[in-house]
Amino acid sequence: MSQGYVPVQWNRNKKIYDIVLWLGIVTAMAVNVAVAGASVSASLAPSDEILVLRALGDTGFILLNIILAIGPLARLNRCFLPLLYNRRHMGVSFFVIVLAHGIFALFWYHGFGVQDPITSVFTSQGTLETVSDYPFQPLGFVALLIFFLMAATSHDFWNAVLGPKFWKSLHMLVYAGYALVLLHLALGALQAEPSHVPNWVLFASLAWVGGLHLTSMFAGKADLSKVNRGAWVEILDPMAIERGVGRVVEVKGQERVAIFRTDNDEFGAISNVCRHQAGPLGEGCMIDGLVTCPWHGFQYQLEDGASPPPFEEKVATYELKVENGSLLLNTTALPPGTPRPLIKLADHASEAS
Amino acid sequence: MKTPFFVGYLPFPKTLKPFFQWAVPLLLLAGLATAYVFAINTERTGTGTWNAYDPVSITGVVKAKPYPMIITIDRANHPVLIVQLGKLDATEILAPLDGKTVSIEGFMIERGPWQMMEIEGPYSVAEAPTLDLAPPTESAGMFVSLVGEIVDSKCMLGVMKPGAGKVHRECAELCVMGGMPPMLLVKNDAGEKAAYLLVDQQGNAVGRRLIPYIALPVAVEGFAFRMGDMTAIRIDLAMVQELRGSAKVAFGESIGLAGTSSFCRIPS
Repeated sequence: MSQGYVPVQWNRNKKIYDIVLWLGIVTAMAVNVAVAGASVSASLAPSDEILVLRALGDTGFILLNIILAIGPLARLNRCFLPLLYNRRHMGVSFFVIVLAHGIFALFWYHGFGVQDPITSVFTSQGTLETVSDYPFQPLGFVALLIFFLMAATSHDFWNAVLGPKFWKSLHMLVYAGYALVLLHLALGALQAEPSHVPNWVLFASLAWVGGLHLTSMFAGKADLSKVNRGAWVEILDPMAIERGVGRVVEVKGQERVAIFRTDNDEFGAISNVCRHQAGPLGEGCMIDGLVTCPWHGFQYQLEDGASPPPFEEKVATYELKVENGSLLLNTTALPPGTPRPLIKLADHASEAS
Repeated sequence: MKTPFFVGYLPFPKTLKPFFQWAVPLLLLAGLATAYVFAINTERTGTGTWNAYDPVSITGVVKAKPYPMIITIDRANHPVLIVQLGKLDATEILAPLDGKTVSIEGFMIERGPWQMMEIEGPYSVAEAPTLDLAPPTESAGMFVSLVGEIVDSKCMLGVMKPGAGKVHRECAELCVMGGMPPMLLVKNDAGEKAAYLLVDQQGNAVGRRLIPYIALPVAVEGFAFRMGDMTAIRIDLAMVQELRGSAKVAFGESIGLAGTSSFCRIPS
């Protein structure tokens, strides 16, 4: 949290994560090179450099598909949260792989000539008029720049320096990078494939990434069970919120609000946006009485939206009140860290009766 | 709470372990299966070789035009093409030595009947006692109209595998910019492949004029002729035409002597 920065805050879970991740990467590379090398007789096989170059690109593509799936998977099922926890290590590992692919391609195909390699990437022949002639390397180059920006700013230090909103926007560029990668493959290497099967991998990728995002978008849609009453909105059926769990409420034109029910049946509302990486607090739960972000475990006191000392993060809080047995939320955010009383619905309910 | 909640800095929840015992291997298997699908369709890239770690020395007579080559006793009718390391030709080094006998050291690139030597620089060449070797005789030309792919000879003969096709296009462009002899690769219905050196209508190097057509399916017109056992075409640059709508021209395997098969009958 905000107690200072170290390169990596290692713990056992992260170490296991990285070991499994890199075992997977090395195995995928080895399978790719071995299968490609063995699928044709040795004298007719592509050269070793090309096999490695292709394996790096293929492995990067596979990793990107896993990375993009983790968010929606974790939203659909909390069991996937451990994959999300250290996703940035997977992201940086992915960048290392595609950087190697890019450097290898840059020097192998564009180097050692009468032009500098970067100029060669952007000035080669080709036309935008036909799919078969469309230059595909610039697409990969721009995607690599995007992934570089993301990897370079992945540390919490840059999140704090750039601000969570800008940082989040910057990292949403991953979708632009993904689109460029799809085009880079479709207009490049896959046009040279002797089989159409790898082309279908692109469609499968789109179905996988797009399908999961759409599903999670609808399944995890913010709770709209509320009735507007000016600045106050009614939260419908609050007792349906599990103890120690949150509910996300959408407020038009503002940040979403996370409403939590404590083990004592008290209700409190804070901003849904974690100060760390804008994770959805309302999808988290309460541990030791603290709202805990599902992404990286940042914690906030429900009473005032502040992280417990010595941490300094604070999120906006919201007032709740009970009126005629209904739970009402004031949609005007209070400044981050503002204390206000938690509301015990049962007491009010009994008072009303 | 029904679903266990994971927090990274806390011990891994025991109740989550069964889920991860199948979910992680399943994810890994899916990744490996995708790697397999990408790799199993690897194309055949031809029998070219590039012996980049074992330099050899040959002695012969320099023929600088249309492209630098060495006529040796063993290969009087099919000289060894000479290029430099990287994507550079050897014209500057060998043009002043045209007709002279030299001893030259470099790395062999071979595919089918074609041989090429990659040299490191001017210090790879030394004058040697004169050999009485005449340049291969040139046959009369025969008008041909062929469809194929223009490639750079160095990559196609074995340095890059594959050394043709769209992915290799920029590399081929750089090679031809650097003076590498361009070749036309053609394939007949039987799947046999042949390679022709390309020269202009005066029999000189075509240089950069072919760059817009490299690695594309093209139709070429010109006069095919023999230089000894080598096949070449004096192409009409105005008649080189890119074929639209054709996805690609695939090559691999051998690149035999054109003119002895059904490609075109070039008079000997």
